[in-house]
Amino acid sequence: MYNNPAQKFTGSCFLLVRKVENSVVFLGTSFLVHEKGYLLTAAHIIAGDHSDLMVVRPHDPEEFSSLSLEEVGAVSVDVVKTDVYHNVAVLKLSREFLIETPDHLIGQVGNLTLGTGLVNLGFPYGHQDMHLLAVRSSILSSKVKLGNGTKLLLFDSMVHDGMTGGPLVSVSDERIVGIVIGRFSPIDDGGDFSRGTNYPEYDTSMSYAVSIEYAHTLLDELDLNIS
Amino acid sequence: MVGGIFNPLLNSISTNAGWFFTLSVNIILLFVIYIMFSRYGEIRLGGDDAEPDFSTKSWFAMLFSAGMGIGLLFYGVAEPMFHFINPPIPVADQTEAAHQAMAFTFMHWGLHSWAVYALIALALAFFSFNKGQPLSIRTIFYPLLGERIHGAWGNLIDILATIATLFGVATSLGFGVQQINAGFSHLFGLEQNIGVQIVLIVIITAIATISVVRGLDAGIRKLSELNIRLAMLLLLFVFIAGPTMFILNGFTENIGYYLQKLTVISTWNETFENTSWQNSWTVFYWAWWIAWSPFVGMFIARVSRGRTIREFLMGVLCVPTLVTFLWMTVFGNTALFFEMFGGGGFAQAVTENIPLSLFLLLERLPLNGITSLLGVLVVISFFVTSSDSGSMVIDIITAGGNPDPPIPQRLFWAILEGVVAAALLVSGGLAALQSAVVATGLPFAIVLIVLCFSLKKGLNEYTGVQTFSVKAKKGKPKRFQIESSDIPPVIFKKKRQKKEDDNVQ
Repeated sequence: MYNNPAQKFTGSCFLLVRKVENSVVFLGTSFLVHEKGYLLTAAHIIAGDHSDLMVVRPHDPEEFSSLSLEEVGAVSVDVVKTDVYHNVAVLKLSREFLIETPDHLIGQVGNLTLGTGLVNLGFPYGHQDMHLLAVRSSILSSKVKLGNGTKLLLFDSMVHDGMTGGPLVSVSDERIVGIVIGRFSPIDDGGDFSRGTNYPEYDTSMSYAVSIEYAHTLLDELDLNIS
Repeated sequence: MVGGIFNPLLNSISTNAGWFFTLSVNIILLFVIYIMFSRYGEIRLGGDDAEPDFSTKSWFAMLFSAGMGIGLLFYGVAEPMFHFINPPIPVADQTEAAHQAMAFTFMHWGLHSWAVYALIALALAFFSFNKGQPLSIRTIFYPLLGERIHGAWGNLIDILATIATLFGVATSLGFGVQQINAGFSHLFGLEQNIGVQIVLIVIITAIATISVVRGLDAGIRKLSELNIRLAMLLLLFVFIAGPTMFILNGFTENIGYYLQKLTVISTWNETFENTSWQNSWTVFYWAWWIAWSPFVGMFIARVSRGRTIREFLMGVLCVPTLVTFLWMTVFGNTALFFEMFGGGGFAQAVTENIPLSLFLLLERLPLNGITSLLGVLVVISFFVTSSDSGSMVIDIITAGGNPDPPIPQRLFWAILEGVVAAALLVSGGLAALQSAVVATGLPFAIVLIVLCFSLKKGLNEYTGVQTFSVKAKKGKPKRFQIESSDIPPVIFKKKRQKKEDDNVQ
């Protein structure tokens, strides 16, 4: 049930890092969506600083590998477009690669019903110096809308911080339906939803992603045709 | 004089490669049936969300029209007569001869031929609608050849498809013009000779060429629809005016006998008889269908978007096959009735002049003058529509899949089809037409067998899990130590802070 969507998208995931002197520091997850080297991630993990961003390919996730990478090969990416209003960023690999992408990548959020099976992918413990790619399964728990109109998908697994920026994929049609943002905080005003703050004491086993439609809009504006 | 080379050529290719044609069409039929019942059958042409472009009724009507053509009019009466008076496999009595005559006719026009069309139609539809490739023959080999389809291999495939289609259509035109000539001869006493036929080719090619240049697509479509109606009218007339009960009884019996003997007659290679009967029949037909396959395949592909592969293959295999069986039974059984219970002599007359066979049959029914004229009109109409749409298919192939090729190019192919048909008729008549189609069908038969592998691979990749592949073009990425960092706060800006935030670069 989960292996097909997981297998489909493992090759799309990259560690998003920033170059600092002779090192790179981990920021979160990003994922490929176009054969010309375009990636998506959550805008907030770039924190408005578009300089020195790079991506790193993980080990082959189908092979057993060590928890931490000592040294990594990183490729520069440029921030092509961001929508901080909806927390989406489009990146582009600065070097040319021969990239093949599967068909049918982007899904329709409007068609999702509560209880739909989901998987999300990313690097959960990147902030703790562990660089394994992990797949989580969940179901769609709720569809909510922020005060500014942004559509969010709540799902019933607790994502770790390193998975932020990764794809949320519908199991049934194996298409991306959201970009993972973080954990849900059940406080009166919506917590980090609306204020941009995150209180660990309020973390729950629920997480949320922003609807993929905002990324689709950005990609359309770039004249990128994605099925 | 030149005609003397065609019979030996036909015999040489048929004798040495006949087994390959027989094997190929059987492989294709089995492959198509396998795909129909396999898990690939659930794939929808155009993607999961695709809706059929045409209602099922309209789609059936289009498949129905695809099953009609000049060949049915040319051979509908003649073929059963030939097999009846000269049974391919020795028989005990004339009942068995009649059974066998209809079974061989059904075999030549039935499931095998439509499996060939279905194969190429499915490949074109799948790679075009599901994989976004242009509607061209070379692109359906992408799973096997990769980017090489844009090079010499792709060119070779398209050239073979073009030549096969050109000669396949030219052969039909050659038959058509012979039959029109025979019709005029029957009706008005016009001589049956090459000179008249060349003049007819020039006139009818000119009509088709005008329609090509002026883009009379709507006109041609209407003509085509009218044509099918006229053909069905002719069919209905023969059914009612002919031996109706004999036809009704025969229809079911012919199908039953065909299905019962299918494995025997479709794999028969005259091995132990040491004869060469198949050279001018079965081998010719297989080559003819193979040569026609890009033409019919492209038409079927274009009208079948939104169907599942299972639905598509069942439709393409069954609907036109049943139409053809109905036609062959109405005309073939009527001819058999005249021969067996009408005093005899009919078969002899038919086999002496194949193009005249339809009119000889109509002569024995009431309203002969009207129905013969109707028959000629139907053949002319088939001729014009085949020439027009045949040149369009060649245009699309030679324009790399462009569905709207330039007019000079369409003009060139439309005229060339007429020229080829005329040249073949002048140089060797029926034998030349048959030789040309067998010679050009042979290499394309190899292409179709390879296509089975390509289509299977393409379907397999489509239904299997597709994954991302990222390969560096050159050089290696820079190496860095990787470190952890603080976790950034989540921010959704409350109001859109235009431009400076949204657009970088």
